[in-house]
Amino acid sequence: MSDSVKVHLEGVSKTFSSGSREVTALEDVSLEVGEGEFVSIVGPSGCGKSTLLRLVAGLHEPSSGTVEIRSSRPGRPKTAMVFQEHALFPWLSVRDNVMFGPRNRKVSKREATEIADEQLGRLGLARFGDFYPHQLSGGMKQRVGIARALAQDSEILLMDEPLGALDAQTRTLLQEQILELRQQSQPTVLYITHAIDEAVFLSDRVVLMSARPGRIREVIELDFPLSRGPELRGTKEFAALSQGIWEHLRDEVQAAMALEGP
Amino acid sequence: MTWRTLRGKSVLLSGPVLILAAWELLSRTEVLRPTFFPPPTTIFARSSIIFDAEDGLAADIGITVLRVLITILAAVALGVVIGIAVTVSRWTERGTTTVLAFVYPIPGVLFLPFLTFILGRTEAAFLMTALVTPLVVMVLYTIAGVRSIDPIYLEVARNYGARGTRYFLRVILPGSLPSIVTGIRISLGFSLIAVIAIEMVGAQDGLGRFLWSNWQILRVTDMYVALLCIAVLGLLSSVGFDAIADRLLPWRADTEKAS
Repeated sequence: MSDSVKVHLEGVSKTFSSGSREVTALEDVSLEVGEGEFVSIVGPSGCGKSTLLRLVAGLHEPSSGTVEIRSSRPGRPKTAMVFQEHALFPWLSVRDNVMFGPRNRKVSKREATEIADEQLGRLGLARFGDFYPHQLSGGMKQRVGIARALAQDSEILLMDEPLGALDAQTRTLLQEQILELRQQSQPTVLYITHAIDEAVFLSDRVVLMSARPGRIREVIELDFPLSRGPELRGTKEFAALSQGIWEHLRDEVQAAMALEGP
Repeated sequence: MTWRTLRGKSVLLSGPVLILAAWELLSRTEVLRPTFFPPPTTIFARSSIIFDAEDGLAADIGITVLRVLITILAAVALGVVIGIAVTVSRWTERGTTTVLAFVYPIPGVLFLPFLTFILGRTEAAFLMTALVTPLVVMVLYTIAGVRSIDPIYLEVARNYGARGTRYFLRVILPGSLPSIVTGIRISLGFSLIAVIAIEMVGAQDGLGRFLWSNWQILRVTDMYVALLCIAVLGLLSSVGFDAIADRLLPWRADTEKAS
């Protein structure tokens, strides 16, 4: 694995057995994510996107193939995941939620508090450290979820449809906030979404997946500069690319709907 | 307190008041034999024996309360630890729940003879007998609590590297707390029932003993006073616990909205 490659998936398949039935969620997926790269995975629902992310996170073991994450220094967490439904612990304050990862790594309480407050500040939540999750709006909760992942300073940031449950306006705002975070510190990100415009707006590369069993159908390189801004959404290239990706995806979405049945 | 909530409370009282009024009437008109069913007013008047200096009921109340407290504290401490420990594997969990399903319907008092074989008629035997049912309840509710934790929280815990003690104290215990609290509420009732029953058949003191011995010598009014005390204790324990319970779960608003 070359130095600039952060994550390397080679021939990864995953089969789940429920009762006597076997379901192949992923089939022969190979993918490399480079240092500081932002890769989005787009596909119809049930195509195994989330499974792919959980394999990288080490929450599932692949049935075959390998998942490698290059360590840049000892002790640095390999992955930190932002979950679809924020998944904040309702019994911990916002600050304690963000401190959760560092404290698990035996970072001192004082230092973990500093890390948490810094990340909360970055996401505009400095005042909300002592709140409990149920006192926050959906968008704020998801920002806490992102702060919690950033506090891990992991090799790679995994985001599982982080904006999927939010309303359109909050989502647009949060996309811009994620872009800013990217411009500030260039983390390596594997990002799952079903919103094509979101993928195009944020990524260096967009990976298209097929309906079950999930395979990589196409990888699309985007050459928008990192310094892009919200105005990108209004450009002709943006529209053309989004449309192009949708053309590719349409068949797969139809196939997925047929799988689900009436 | 607003007029509305006051009126709400008075509705709650209407049932008991109605029953007591009927009882008073039937007893005074001797439809019910006052020897066995003395009028409630007489019982209330006789309640002064609680504060009698030498054979006062207060000491017995104190002993019963103490026994209930020891029982419930032991049941919670042991039950939560055992409940969480057995969820470590499917085998221990299945094994435990099967055994407990067998023990649970047996009236707790029936364990007194067995325990006295080992421990004699001692306080330890009484308390351990009282402990049986509340402990079973706590173990079962703790297991159910651990099982009710949304799997996503377990994924977060794993992905963020929670292990060992921190995993149990920060994730598993708070995650199962809503169910544990329900378990405590139920165990509290069972503790009181068990302690009173054991006092009636075994102990030399306590409210149950007082009630039983007064029944045997047909000092009926005193028996009713003890009964009244037990009822009030039960009421106070559940009302008191509800007041604490909300403070144990400050995030409850969230879970209720989600469910």
